[in-house]
Amino acid sequence: MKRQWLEIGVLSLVTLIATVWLGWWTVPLIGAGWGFSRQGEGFPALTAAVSASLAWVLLLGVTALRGPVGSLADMAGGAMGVPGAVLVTAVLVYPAILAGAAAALAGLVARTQA
Amino acid sequence: MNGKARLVSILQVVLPALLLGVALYGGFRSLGPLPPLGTFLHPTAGIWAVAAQRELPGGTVRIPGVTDSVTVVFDNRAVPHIFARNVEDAYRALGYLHARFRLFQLELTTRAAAGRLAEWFGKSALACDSEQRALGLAWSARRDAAALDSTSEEGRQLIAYADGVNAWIDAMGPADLPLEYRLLNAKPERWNPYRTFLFSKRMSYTLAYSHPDRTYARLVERVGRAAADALIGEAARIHEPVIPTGRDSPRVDLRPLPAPAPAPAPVLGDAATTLPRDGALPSHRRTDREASNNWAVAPQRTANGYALLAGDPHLDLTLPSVWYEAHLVVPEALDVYGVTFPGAPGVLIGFNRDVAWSFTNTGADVLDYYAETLDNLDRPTQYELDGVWIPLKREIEEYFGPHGKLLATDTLYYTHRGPLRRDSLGARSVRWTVLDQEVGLRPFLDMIDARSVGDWLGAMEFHLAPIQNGVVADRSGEIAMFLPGAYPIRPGGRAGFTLFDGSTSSSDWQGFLPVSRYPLSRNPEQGFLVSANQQPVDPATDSTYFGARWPAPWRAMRINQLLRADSAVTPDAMRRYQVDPGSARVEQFLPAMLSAVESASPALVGSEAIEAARLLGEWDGQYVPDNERAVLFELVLGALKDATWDELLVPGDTLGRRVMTPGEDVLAVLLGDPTSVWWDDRRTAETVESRDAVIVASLIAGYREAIERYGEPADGGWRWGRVGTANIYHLLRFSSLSALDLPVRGGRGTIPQMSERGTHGPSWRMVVELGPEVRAWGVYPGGQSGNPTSRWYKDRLQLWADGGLDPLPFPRTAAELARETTAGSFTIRSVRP
Repeated sequence: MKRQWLEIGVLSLVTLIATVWLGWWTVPLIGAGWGFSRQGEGFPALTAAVSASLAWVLLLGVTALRGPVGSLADMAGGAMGVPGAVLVTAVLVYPAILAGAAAALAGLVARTQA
Repeated sequence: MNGKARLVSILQVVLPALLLGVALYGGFRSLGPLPPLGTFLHPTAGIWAVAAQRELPGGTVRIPGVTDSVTVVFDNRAVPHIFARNVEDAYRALGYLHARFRLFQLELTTRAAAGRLAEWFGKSALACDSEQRALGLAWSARRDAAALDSTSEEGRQLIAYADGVNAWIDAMGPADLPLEYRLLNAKPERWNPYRTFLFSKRMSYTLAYSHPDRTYARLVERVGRAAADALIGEAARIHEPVIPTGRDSPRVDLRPLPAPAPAPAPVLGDAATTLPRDGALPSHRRTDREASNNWAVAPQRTANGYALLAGDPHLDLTLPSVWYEAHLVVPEALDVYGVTFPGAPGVLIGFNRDVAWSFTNTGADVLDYYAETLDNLDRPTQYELDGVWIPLKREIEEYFGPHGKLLATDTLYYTHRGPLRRDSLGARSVRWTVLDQEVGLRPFLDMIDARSVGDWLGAMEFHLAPIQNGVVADRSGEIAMFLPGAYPIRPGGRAGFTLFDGSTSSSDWQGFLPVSRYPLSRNPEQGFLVSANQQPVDPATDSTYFGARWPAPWRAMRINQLLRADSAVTPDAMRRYQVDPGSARVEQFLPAMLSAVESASPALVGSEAIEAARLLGEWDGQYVPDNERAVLFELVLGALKDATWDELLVPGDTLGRRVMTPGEDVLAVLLGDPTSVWWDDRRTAETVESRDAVIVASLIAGYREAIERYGEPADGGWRWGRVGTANIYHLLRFSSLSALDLPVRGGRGTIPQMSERGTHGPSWRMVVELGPEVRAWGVYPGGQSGNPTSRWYKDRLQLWADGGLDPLPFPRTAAELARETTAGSFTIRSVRP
C-alpha cells in the first residue's frame, strides 16, 4: 500500500512537470509508459489515472493561489452553458481518462508481447 | 474461452481504446462547440491562466520602433498615465495598453466591420457579415489604408499605434490569451492601420447610418405628402436647438398638423420598398438610442468663475466598455486626459491643460439612395448615367468559416456613388459621406493639443464624418458649440429622404456646405451651450436641410431649464444634472392626461381612468428607482401613441405596427389642437373621437396593462427600479460575464435616458472645470480591464449607477502621482539591437 502511494506520488510529480514544461499531451504518454512498464501488475491504469488527476489538481491549486479560479469557473461555465463545477471536475476527469486509458492499453500490449 | 470471458477481454481493449481515442481527439480538435480540451483545460496555461494573469504590466516592456524610453504609471483606478518624449512613442504605449487590456474587443469590433465574424462563429454569422460588407465599410477602409501616406503625421501615428498593439500580441505567451479567444478557439491577428480605419468606419456606422428614405416613402403612401413632411420632422415641432436662438424658452410650432390624405396613391412605387428599412438593424432605432448630452457653462454663470464643461455620450453599454481611459504626456506636444477608443490612437473626449471638449451625435442626413438602371439585374456589368453605360466596379467577396473553410462567395458592385445593392425589385446605390475618401482621423489627433477654443475649432474644421455636436471650453472662459462635418448639398436644395433617380448625374450631390456655414455658436449671451441630439438649428433662423426625424428635444429642454435656473453652477451641480431624474417630457404630457379626466363627467370617464389620473396626480415626475408612478405614465403614453397614430398602421399587419411613430414633440403639439382630425380613430367609422376621449381611453388601457404586468398599484410591483434598469452585456452577450438588472435613475426623455432594454446609455460621464489648474471628474460603466476576473473589470459600475463621479488625477509628471494613489508602473524601451 505504501509502495502504491509512493508510485502515485512519483508519477504525479512526473506528470506535473511534463504538463508544465511540455504540454497536456504528455499525460497519455506517461500513462502509457507506466502501464507498459507495469505489464498489468497491480492496478497500473488506476494508479496512472489517480496520479494524472492529482498532478492537474495540484497545478490548478497553484493557479488558484494566483487568481480567482472559482469565479472564473463560474464565468466560463456560464458562457458554455454548464455549472462552473463541471469545468473543475473536467480538470480531474480529463487527465484521468487520458492516463488511465493509455496505461490500460499499454499494459495489454505489454502482456501480449510477453 | 467462453463467450462472457471473450466479451470481457474485448471490452478490456475496446473501452480504453475508445476512451483514449475520444479524449485525444477532443484534446487536439474541437468537438462540436467545445474548444480543444487539451489546451483549454490545461491547469496552468489553459483557461485557468486567465484568473492568474498579471493585473498590470510591470518591469520593462520592449516595443519595436520606440525611440526613447516611456514611463507608464497606473493610478489606483488602473488608468495609465503615459509619459513619453514624442507623440509616436506615446501612441505605441497606448496601442500596447489597448492590446494588453482589450485585445478581444479590438479584434471583435474590426472583424464585425470587415464582415469576418463567420470565421469565428460559422455560418450563423454569414448574414451579418454579408450585410456589413454590402455597406462598404471594409471597402472604404481598404481605400483609406491604401491612400495613407506612411510618412505623414497621421500615417506615422497610426503605424506607431499598430506597433504597440503588435508588440503585445507578439509577446503573448499561451497563458496570456484572453478568455474569449479560448472559448472561441481563436488566435489574435496582428494589427495594422487598415484595422484602425475599420474601427473608425464601424463607429461612423453606429453614429451616421441613418436614412429615413424608406420610412418617408411609406408615410407618403399612408397619409400623403403634406402630412408626411410634417411627421417626418424635417423641422421639429418644439425648437430648443443646439445653436441657441436667444430665446429664453423653446419655440413651439403651433401650426396645425396637416390632415392625412384619405387614400393617397403610391408615390415612389415599388422602388421604395427595396430600400433597407430605416431602423431595420437593432442598433439604429434612432430616437430610442440617441441620448447623448453635452453642455458648457461660461464663467459668468459658474460659482467659481471658471468655465465648466460636461459630457455624457450615450452608446451601447458593454463589458468591457467601449472606452479606455488614459492620460498621455509628451513635453511641449501633448498633455491630454480622457477616454480613448480601443482600436485607435488619440483621446476622443477629454481635456488638456487649457481646453476640454465632448461630443454628441448630430444625426445629420449624410446618406442617400439612388435607383440605378442596370444592363442586367442578375449579372450586371454596367449602369446607365446620362444615357451612357458606365462599367460597374466589382469585387469578389469570400466568406470563410472557423477552420478556413470557404463558406460562400459574393460579388459586390460599385457605381461612382458607392456600393450597389440589388434584389428582385431593383437596384440602388448609396452615397454616404462615411465611405468617402479623405475621412481620416487627423482632426481628432490634432484637436487634443489645442491651447484655446479657437485652436480646437480650427482643428475640427477638417472633420468630415460622422458629423458631431462638439462642445468646447477653455481656461480663458470661452465656450463654443461647433457641428463640423461634410453636409451634402443635394440638387435644388432638396431634402435627402427621398429615393433619387440614379440614371442622371443631376441627382448627384453638388458639393458640401462650406465650413463657414457649419452650425457654430461661440460665447453666446446666455452663457451656456447645450446639445442633446436635438435639431441643430431652428429652421426659422437657417432653413438649410440638415436632416430629419430629430429626436424630441426633451433632454435639451431639461438641461436648458436647469441651466437657466442656475446662475452659479458648480462642478457638483453639473454632475447632478447629468443624472437628473426630472423630465420635460412629463411636463408636456402629464397635465393633459390629468385635465382630460378633470374636464369630463365622472360618469362618462369611468372609475379606472379616474384612478389612473389620481395615481399619476401623486407623481412628482421624477424617474427614480423607488418611484411607483413612472411605469403607469409610460404605459399610458404608449397607449396614447397607439390610439392617436392609427392612420400610420401598416395595412394588414396583424401585430399592429406603424410605418413610423412620429416624434413625441409632434404628439405634444397635437395635444394643443383638440379638434384635429388625427384624434379620430379611422377604425371606428361610426364614432369621431375627440382628444380627451382618446386620452381617457389611453389612461384606462395603460392602467389595465400596468396591473396586468406589475400587479395592483399597492403591491409594490410598480417600482421604477424594476423597469428602469441597465443591462450591460459582455461583448459576446454571455450573462455570466455581464452586469444585468442594475437599477438606475432616469427614464425616457430624461438626461440620463437609457434605451428600453437598458443596453444603451451614458457610456462616459465627465465634468471639467477650467480653472487655473484644470479639475475633472469622470466615470464609465465597467472598468479598465477586459479580463472578467480582474478587479478592474467592472469596479466602476456601482459608482456609475449611483450617479457618482471619480476625481481624475491629472499629474504633470510621473512623480506627481502620489505613491499611495498608484497601482503600478512599467517602462517601455526599444527592442535590443
